Amino acid sequence: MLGDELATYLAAAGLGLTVGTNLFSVPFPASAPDASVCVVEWGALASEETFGASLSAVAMEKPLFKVMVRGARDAADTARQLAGQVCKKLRRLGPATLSGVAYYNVTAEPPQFMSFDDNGRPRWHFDGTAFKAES
Amino acid sequence: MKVRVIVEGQREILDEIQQIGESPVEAGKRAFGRITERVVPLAKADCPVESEDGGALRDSIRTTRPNLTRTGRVSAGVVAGGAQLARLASERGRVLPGIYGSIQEEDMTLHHSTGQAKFLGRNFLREAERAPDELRAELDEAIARARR
Repeated sequence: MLGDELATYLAAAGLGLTVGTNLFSVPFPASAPDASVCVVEWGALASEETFGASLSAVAMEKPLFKVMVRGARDAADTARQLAGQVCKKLRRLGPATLSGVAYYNVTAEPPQFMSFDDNGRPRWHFDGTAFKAES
Repeated sequence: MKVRVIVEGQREILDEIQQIGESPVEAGKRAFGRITERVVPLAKADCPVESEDGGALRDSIRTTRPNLTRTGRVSAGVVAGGAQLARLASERGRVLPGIYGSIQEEDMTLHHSTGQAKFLGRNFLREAERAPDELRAELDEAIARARR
């Protein structure tokens, strides 16, 4: 699925991210360190379909996702920089193969500041859309 | 290698549009206005209701009036927030109000007993995908009315 595919790709992108340590394909687990990144799927545009056999794969799916970058307290600028780097690794990604799945294109909006969470940690976020083969 | 592109039917399309007898902008406003009206109850059903706002965010969800922008585009939207939320503790003293609604919409790490993040975006995008077909139907109807 998209979250796992993008997380695996980002973990190999030279950003110091490790899946399950400071990079997650679900909202930040309680055990996540202050400085962490998560990729969350939240919806999808209508898939492109072609005639085919029952239950056959769609030609292209278009899932929507959000990337959240959280920083340690008093490290808002570091989190902002990382959000920008993650965004640049995703926007206009493609054509590429991620975890064996064809990605035709990825769009990503510029990161924006969301808020400080209840523990005073800064959070940045951006939304994106992936145009990919079904997985 | 040369590529030649031929577009046919432009004159017919322009003739059809001129037969509408009214501005296609009005047809666009009607089509988009219907779409945004459909989004409102869907977004309200999906909107988180927390003790802090008591349902005020949900109740604030409304359409914007369809209009023609300065750049010549027909625009219609759905918004949430506003004066109803100004009393919330998280809004007090902020130069740019709306943080509460923005966080409820964007923050996917929050736990909600009812509703979820992207209550506006998810429902709006789903309905907006029908915009081309609904606009086409509106224009066809306007042409048919003009011909009667």
